[in-house]
Amino acid sequence: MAGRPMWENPLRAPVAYGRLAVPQLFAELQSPEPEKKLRALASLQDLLHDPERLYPTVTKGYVEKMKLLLEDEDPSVRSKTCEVLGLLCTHSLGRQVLLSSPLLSSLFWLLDDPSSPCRKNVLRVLKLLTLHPSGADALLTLVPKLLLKLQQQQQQEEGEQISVEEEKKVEVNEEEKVDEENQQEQREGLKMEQTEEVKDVKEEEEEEELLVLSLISCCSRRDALPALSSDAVSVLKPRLTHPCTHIRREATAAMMALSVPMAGKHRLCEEAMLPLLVGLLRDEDVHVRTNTVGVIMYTVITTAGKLQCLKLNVVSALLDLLTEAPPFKKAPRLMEEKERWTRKALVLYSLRALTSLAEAPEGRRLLMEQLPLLRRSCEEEEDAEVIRAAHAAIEVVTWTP
Amino acid sequence: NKMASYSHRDRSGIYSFSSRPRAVEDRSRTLPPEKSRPMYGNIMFDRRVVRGNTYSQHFRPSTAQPDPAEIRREQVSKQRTSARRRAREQLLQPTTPEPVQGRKHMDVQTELYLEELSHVVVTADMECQSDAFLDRPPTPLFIPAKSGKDVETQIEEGELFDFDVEVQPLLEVLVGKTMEQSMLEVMEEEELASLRAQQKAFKVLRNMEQAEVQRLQEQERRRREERERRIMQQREALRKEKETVEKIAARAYTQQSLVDLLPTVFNSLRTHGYFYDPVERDIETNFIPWLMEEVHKNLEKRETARKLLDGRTNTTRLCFLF
Repeated sequence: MAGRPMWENPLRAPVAYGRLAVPQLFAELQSPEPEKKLRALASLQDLLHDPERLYPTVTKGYVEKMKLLLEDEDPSVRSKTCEVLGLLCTHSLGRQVLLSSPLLSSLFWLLDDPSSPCRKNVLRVLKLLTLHPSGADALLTLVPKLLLKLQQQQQQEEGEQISVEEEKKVEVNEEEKVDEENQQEQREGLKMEQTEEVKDVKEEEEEEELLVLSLISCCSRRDALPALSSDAVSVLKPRLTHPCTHIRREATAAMMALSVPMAGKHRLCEEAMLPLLVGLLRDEDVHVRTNTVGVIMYTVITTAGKLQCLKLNVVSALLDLLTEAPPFKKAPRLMEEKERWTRKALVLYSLRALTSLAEAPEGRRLLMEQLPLLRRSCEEEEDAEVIRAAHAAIEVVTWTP
Repeated sequence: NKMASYSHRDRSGIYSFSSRPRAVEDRSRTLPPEKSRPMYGNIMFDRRVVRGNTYSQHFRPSTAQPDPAEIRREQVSKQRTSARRRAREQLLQPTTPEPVQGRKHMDVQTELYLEELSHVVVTADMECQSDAFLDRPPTPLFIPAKSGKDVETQIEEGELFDFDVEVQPLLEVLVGKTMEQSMLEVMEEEELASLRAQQKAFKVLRNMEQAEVQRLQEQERRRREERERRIMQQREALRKEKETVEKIAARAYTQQSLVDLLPTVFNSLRTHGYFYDPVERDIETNFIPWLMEEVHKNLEKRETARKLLDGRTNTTRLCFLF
């Protein structure tokens, strides 16, 4: 590489000093070559970490110039632009500017982009946008589209699953015949390669699915009605039993957001989701369990939900959850604090669900038997909220008309 | 003599000079102190005026430095004048008078020891021969006598520049800055994480409270509906009771009133003629009307006959009158 000084990085455009850095990079972005654009975008990415540089960029309206880049032909340019926009969205001023700019429609359009990294970056940007409530409002219109995407993906997966199952059947038949070991190994080797390739693609798809699900749950927390009207419950149903933990987490979180309004609760009861959810109560991941208990907590408020749950013997499951969580103490470190809060959430939600269940006569009867357990947990706990919840539960259980 | 030139110093110290134009006077070298009559020379015969072509004239540049030739000439002339002056003075110095006739002046020595005054200097020749030239031996090294103290100095390795010592401040700055930056970033992330944790905790509590609120709402709704239903039921029950009471009362009353209903009914019916003998009725309905008709017809006939008669008698009466 003769002629190039050592300190020049081929991946980054040279950055001018001081105030001229950002305008010069933007000028370089106008050039037609994609490599130059990539380099300039990479340098911009490095620069815009600093809020001092970011604020003038955002306030002087350079952001609109990125619109052209979003419609560029080269997919790597598009995905890099989305990364830079993601950096912008980490600051609230950037979020506001982005929301009020015409870039939003281009971003929506880019969701259907053929290149996967581009789509993922767009989803990340949108997820950061939901940190602001007006951002979540703006994205509510996007929710039906996202659900449609999930549906399509689900159909695709089903189609793949069927073909995979067929393949497996064929393979089983072949293996029944007498095979030499070499042939078997060869086939297994091929299978491994194939599964690895398929795995990579699958991982990317899963990541995307994860992002879409988290976006849906963020928007639904703001207002769950658009999602419900686009039939979100049935779309989320298969994802509850997905092998990947993260997807299950996000699906249950979305379900919890959906079950807040009354329409959602009715929907859940209609679609017979409760058996699935009760099954999920014994899941390994704490977060999945917490979210599931949250869903149950909300659903059980309706009478139909109560009856269904009592039929499914939810009470014993919830009591198990209560007893397995140890009493809480104040944790000094942040990680422990986080864990403590997740377990606390679990306990709180189960107590609330039990409170709602206790309003039904059968539930009350069941819980009267378990009353000493509740009292004991009430006395042992140090945490104020848990004590309060336990008191409320005991009150409801011992209420007589 | 009028004032041809005028110069004065101003009040502020500015010097000014002005003069009326005048012809140049020709003054001879001997200065006549009195000015009897201004002699104007002819400009044509004035030595100071340059005549002829001035293009090839060598002229002294108007600098202050005079030409070296000029200087020398001046010096020579000065010397000559000084010599002439000295000579003049010498001539006027008092000297010994001239000798008397027949005598000659002679210079005589009057010191104690007489010296021969002669112009011939006593000389003697001496010869001397040196050896054949030897090479000049080299001058011995001039070593001045030792004075002062002997002092040595040697720069050991690491004396002038010790890397470890020198690098210390640089390292401190680099490491310190890196640490500072990383600490800042970590603190930022920690802050963000704690913010998120707080948010999460808040969300959990909020969900809980929301569930509680919804539960209580549901409870309220249920109880309200229950209450309303019960009220409705109660009302229904009341209404029904009232109805039954009324019914019972009505029944009793009607029973009472209807006790002697039957005989009265029958009586009234009988009086109204609803129980009848069919033969009688038949006679009444068929026979009697026929009879009446016949009678009526008969009577009518008689009536008409009588009327006719009356009429004729009337007309005849009338005719009769007229």
